[in-house]
Amino acid sequence: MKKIVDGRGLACPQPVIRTKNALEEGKFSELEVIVDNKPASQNVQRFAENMGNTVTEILQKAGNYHVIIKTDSKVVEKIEKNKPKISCPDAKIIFISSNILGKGSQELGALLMKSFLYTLTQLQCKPKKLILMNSGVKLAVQGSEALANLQTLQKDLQILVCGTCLDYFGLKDKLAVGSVSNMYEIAENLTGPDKVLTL
Amino acid sequence: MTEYVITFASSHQAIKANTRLHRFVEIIPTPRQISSECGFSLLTKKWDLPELKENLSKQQLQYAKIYIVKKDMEGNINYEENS
Repeated sequence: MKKIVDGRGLACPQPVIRTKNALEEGKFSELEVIVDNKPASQNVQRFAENMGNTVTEILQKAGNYHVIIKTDSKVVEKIEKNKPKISCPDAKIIFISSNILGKGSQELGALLMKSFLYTLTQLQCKPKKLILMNSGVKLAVQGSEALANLQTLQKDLQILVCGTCLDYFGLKDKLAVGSVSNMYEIAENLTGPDKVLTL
Repeated sequence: MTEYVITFASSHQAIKANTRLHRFVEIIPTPRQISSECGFSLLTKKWDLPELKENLSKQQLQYAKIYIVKKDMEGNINYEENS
């Protein structure tokens, strides 16, 4: 028996979640997932394969991608076992060493940073920790445009803020989110087992 | 309160609008489902539609489109173009 999941017009990671739900329901031998963009088809393929299924083909029809999945009867068990985990890669530490993102325009950099932090709040797979250093600490103090986003993120992850840097900028009593940290803790985190992404 | 996403034809227009309205809006990357010429959009939940349009025109801001943010029963977010 065949089942069809229509993931067209859905934002990432919805097509993957719908595929997961369909695979959990089971009761078919072949699942066809329709999505309207290539990255989504690849995400669905990766998810299905990670769960032990076989993707027999990806057909391109009228600008859509049809991912054909042959299911494995053991899959349902596997998914049940892994239920709390969504297929997120190992969570990273993000080291933010400036209040602006990238080099070039100060104005653009500040907006990109704010917009990046907002986007993190929307991600299914969030990083594990944010470490703020040098002017990066300015993001976490009263009056910061990015404060609301960091406060939302703090519900899911740890925010470490360089105490020396707060002191240098005279912002020690203005810290509004995260916990004050020191070079020892920061260095341990950067050299520890987790992957670090530096901005 | 209903959320609205405002798109722009260029980043400069989006940045200008963000500067003028920054206490009422959040600058966000343009949602994937919306095609826009500009990667920045503004999100607001502080105004209703007539107020939003009034403020945009009062500040003489040029924008491309306004979308109404709608969540369905399953929590999926859809953006409905306001015509």
